[in-house]
Amino acid sequence: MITGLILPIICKKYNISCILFSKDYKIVEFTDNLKDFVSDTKKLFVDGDIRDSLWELVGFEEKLQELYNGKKNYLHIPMLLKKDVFYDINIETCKTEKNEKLFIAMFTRQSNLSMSYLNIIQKVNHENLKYEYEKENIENSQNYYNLINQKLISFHINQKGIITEVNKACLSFFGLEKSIMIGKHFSNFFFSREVKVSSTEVSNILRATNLNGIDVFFHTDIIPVKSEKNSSQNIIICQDITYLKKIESELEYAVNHDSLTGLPNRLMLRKRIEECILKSKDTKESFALCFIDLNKFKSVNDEYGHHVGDMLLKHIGEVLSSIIREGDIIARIGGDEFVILFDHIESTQYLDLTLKRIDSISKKNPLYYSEDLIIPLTFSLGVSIYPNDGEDIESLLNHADEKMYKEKKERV
Amino acid sequence: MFNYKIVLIGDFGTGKTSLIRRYVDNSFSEEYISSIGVSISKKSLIANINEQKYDSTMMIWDIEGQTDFKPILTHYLNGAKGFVIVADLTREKTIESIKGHIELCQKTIPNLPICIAFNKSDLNHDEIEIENYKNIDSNIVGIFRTSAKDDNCVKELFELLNNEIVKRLVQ
Repeated sequence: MITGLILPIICKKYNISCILFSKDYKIVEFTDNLKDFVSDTKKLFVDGDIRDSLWELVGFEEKLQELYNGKKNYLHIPMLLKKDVFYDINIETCKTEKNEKLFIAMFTRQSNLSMSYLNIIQKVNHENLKYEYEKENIENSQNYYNLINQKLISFHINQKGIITEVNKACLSFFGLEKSIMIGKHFSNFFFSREVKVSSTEVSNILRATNLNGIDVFFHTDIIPVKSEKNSSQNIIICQDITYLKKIESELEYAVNHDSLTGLPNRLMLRKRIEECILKSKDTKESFALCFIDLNKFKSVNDEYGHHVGDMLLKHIGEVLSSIIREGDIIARIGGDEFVILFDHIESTQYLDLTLKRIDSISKKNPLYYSEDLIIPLTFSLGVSIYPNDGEDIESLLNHADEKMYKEKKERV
Repeated sequence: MFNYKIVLIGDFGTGKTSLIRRYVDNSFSEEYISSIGVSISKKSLIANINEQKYDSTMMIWDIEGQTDFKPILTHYLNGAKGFVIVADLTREKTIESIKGHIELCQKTIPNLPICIAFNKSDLNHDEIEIENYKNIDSNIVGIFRTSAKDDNCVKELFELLNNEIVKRLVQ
């Protein structure tokens, strides 16, 4: 029965395992790969109580009844961990050929992208806990300031940027002798964020590679001091901000991308269009935007549920990504709205051919959700070309949007 | 036979996972691995209510701790029958968070029994009057100084909570 509801190919592609169970929690059917999520496989059998093998559902009886009675559309339990596998559970209701209403629980493994994000979070938590313990332990200690000096990297430079003094923390960070560092320009050891360091100025963010070959980012404070011979010096104090940099890059990714499809989002698209406008002013090359709206997406969501809708959007993202060239970007800017930014276009013929390609490849790649559910991809498209159809972001997007709606109306 | 769910809540690094590992597997590791998402453990218990014995199965939800960047997901508390709030005796900040965690529990599912574990009692810490925390909320049924490392008061905490939950389910 499950193969009629969701095709094995979809289960494999998106790492989904499924189980069907009845209103009174009796197991009706399950996919073989469900065993990865079960602690005691002996308790996983048809007619067994699903709660004996899938403990996640204990306590959710009330929510499941609400789902069964149509008070909810779906139940989502995110980020569960079992046997070193992270997964989400989505539960919906479905009807069998005999018109019997059942629950279908879909187990989806987390993507590698999410896992690398989680690893970073784990490391950040680990570092923070270490930091909190160290803080608690040393705050009342007589050696407080000495310990700070041992942790904080600092060095002195003269007006020309030559290192005149380094502390122990700095030497142990690089694993170098004092004599090797003194007399050298600081840029031999520290690099600014912008790579270029002027001979006398120190950037507020520095990067350095430690003795283990790991890049570490520092925030620097610069304290000017007068030396004995009345020549001025600077003391540079470096604070390790590597974990902040990691969080910054993760947040930057999250801000610029759509969480469902992993595609760039509206914000990222706008940034890229701005870059293209600036570039085109120099090179006099044109670029184009193609607004893409999926036809009848709302009815897919209404008729088959949000899980099918989500799978469809992911599928579209993959199909469209396979069509565009390196350098072009495809963004998801709203529910079922996608925009392709063609970085530069040689001719309008090239653009026409690409649009025809989108149409033909989409037709050949419907979403095979299940044996009974194959959803064709049909789009309405609208194009705007810089600078002919607009010279700024808004007018380019509006022009493409209007053309897309015009096409949509004609199709309807 | 009663099958029910409880959730351990607390700031990150307070030892929620260690308490569960001690209670379920009787094991302990010094290594800190920050929990992400949820893992669920199962423990069979016997509750003794008015001299009558009741079998029960406790599903223990170990959810990721609260950090400055990430609050606790209320999703995970749904369907619970009791809570254990975990704080680290050596980190004041985690003790200050107890009140907020209890408020979150009450807001999500009111009037469930709550136990507080002041964990890591094996480490050096400032003396605090843990009994004073009983006044925070009338649903607090037990407060313990626990140590997952030395196996101190771990079993007692879970058994007290089990008795309280089963007592309410019987009624």
